[in-house]
Amino acid sequence: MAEETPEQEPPESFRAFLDGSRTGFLYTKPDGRIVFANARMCDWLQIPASELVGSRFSDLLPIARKIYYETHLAPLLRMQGFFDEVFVDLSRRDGTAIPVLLGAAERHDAAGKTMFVSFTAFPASERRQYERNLIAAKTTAVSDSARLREQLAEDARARMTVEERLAVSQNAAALREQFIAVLGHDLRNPLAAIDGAMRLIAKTPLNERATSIVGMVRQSVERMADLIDNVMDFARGRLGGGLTINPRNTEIAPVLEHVIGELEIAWPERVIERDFQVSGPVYCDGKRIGQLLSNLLGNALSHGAAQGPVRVIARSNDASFSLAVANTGDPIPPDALERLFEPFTREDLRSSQQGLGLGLYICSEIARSHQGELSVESNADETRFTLSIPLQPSAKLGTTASDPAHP
Amino acid sequence: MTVLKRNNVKLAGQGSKAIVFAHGFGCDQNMWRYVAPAFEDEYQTVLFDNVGAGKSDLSAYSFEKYGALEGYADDVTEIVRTLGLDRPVFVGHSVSAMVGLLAQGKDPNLFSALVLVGPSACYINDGDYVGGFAQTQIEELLTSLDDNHLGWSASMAPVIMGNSDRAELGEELTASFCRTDPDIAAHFARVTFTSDYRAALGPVSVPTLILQCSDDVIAPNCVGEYMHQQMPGSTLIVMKATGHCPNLSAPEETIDAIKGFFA
Repeated sequence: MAEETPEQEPPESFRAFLDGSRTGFLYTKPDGRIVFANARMCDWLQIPASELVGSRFSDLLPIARKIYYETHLAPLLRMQGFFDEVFVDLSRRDGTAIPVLLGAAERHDAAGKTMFVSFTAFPASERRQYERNLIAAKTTAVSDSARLREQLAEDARARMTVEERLAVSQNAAALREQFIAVLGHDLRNPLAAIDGAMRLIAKTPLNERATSIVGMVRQSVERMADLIDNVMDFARGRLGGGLTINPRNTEIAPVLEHVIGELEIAWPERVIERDFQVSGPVYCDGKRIGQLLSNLLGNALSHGAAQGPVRVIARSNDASFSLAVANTGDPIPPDALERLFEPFTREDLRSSQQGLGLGLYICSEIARSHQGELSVESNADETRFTLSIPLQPSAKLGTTASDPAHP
Repeated sequence: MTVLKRNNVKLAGQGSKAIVFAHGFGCDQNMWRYVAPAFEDEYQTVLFDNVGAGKSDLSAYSFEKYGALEGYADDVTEIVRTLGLDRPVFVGHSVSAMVGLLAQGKDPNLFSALVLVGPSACYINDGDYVGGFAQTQIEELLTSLDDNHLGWSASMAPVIMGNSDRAELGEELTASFCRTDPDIAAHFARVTFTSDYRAALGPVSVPTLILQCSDDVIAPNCVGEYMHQQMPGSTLIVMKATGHCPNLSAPEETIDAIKGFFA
C-alpha cells in the first residue's frame, strides 16, 4: 500500500513516532541496564533519557515490586521470553508513583542469544482505581457479612441469656407464690379453730390469770390473722397481676378513727394524736386505706420511741388526699430506706414484733393501685410515712400492675 | 500424602552420587531447568517444589511450620532420608541456600557438599552489616504484601496465557511457574525477608561453594563476601551473571562453576 501511495506515508521518522506515542518504551541489555527510553517514558518518570540510560530497570520500581520483579518477573521473562499486562507502579523522580501495565519481550539474535529486552508501558491509573474500588467493595462486603454473622451470633447468645434468666426468675417467682398461697390457706384453718376455742373458753367462768392468758392468746391469733392477710394480699397481687381495689366516694375520717381506736385499745399506754383537715368525701377504697393506716400505725407504735406520741395527719382538697403517720425515735438507716417498700424487707436490727416484711410492700401497692404514692422521710426528729393520692373523679383506679422482673 | 508427593519430587539422571537442587523464593523447581540436565550423566538429580510453590501439595502448607526456614529445612532432610540418599550434594538458590545450611547444621552428615547460589543470611541492614535492604524498605514490602491483591500472583494469570516463545516449554509448565496462592506467597515473603540466620554461620565441615552474582539487588556482593568471611573454609566465586537468578540467566556459567568446584 505504501508503495502505491507514497504521498500518504507518515511524515515523521520512526523515532518521532516512538516519542509521540501514548505508550512508554524502554530497552535494556540482558543484564537489566537501560539503553534507551522514549520521550513519553522520560516524561512520566520526570527523568531525562541521559540519566535513565545505564541505570537498572528494576530501580524504577518501588521496593515490593522490585523484589517481585527480580524473583518472579525476571525468571518468567527468561523462561517464557515475554510477559504481558503486569501491573506495576513506576517511581517518578518526585517520589510519586505512576501505575502502568507493563509488557516485556526478549529480543534474540540469529543464534538465539538475548540481545536486549524491550519494555512497553501503558498508563493504567483508571484501571487501577477501578480495581481498587473492586477490592474495597469486596473487603467491605466481606467485613459487613462477618460483622452481620457476629451480630447474629451475639443476638442469639443475648436472647438465650435473657430467656434463661426469665425462665429461672419466672420459675422462682411461681414457686414462691404457690408456696405463699398454700401457706396462707393452710394456716387460716387451724387459726380459726384456735380462735373459736378461745371464744368458747372465754364464755366459761375463768380466774383472773386464765382470763389474761386467753386475752393474750386471742391477741396473738389476731396478729397472726393479720400476717396471713398480708401474705394472702401479696400472693393474690402477684398471682392475679395486681392488688384489687373497689374505689368509691368515702367519708374518710370515720374510717381512720376506727383504725386508730383499734390500735389505742391494743396500745393503751401510748398517745396517738389526730390532725385531720378533711373536707368532703375521698374517692378511694376505704377498706384498703384503713388497712394501710393500720399497718403504718402499727409500725410506728412498734418501732417509734415508747414515750413519744404518734401523729396521724390527714389532709384533703379538691386535687389530692394525703395521710401521714409520724413517730419519734431512732431514724431508719439509709440503706434500709432504699429497700423499705420491697417485699420481704425487714429491719434485721430490730427483731422484736416483726412480721414477714410484707406490710410496707402492701401499703405501697395500695398507694399504687390508687395512682398515688407512699413516701418516707426519716431523720433524727421524726420518721414519717406519707400516702398521697390524686383526687380526680375521672381517674381510672383499678389494679396495680405487677412486674415479674422485680419480684 | 507422602513426602515425595507433598514436595512434588522429581528424579532423573544416573550415577552413584546424588545432587539435590532447591529453588528459592518465587517460582518453582523449573528454575533449575537449564542447569540440572547437565548433571544427569554423573549424578542422580533430585528436584522438588517447596510446599506452597509449584505443584507441591498446597494443603500441606502450615503457617506455623513454615513460619521459619527450619520448616523448609526439615522437609529437605525428610526428602533426603525418604529417598535413602547417601550424603548427596546440595545446591540451594536464594533463600534455599540458607535452608540447606540449616538442614546441614542439624545433621552434619546430611550432605557431602553445599553450593549456595545467591545466598543471604540476613536481608536487612543492621549496624555495620549491609544486607541490601533498609528496615523501612522491608516494612514497605510487608505492608504492600498485606494490601496488594494484584501484584504478587493474581496479576500473573494473564501473563501465562498464550504461547510461549520457547518451543521446548509447554503451556502447562509456564502455567504453574511462579504462580502461587497469594496468602502463601505473602507469608513466604515475610518469612524470607525478615529472616536473620547470621548466628547459624560458622566454619564449614564439608566443601562449600558460594556463587555470587554481579549486580544482584536481592543478595548484593557485600552479602556474598560476608557469608564467605563468616564461613571459614568456604569458596566464593563471583560470577559475571547479573541479577538474582543465574540458573536462568546464565545457566552455562552456573554449571561450569559448580562442575569446576567438584573437579
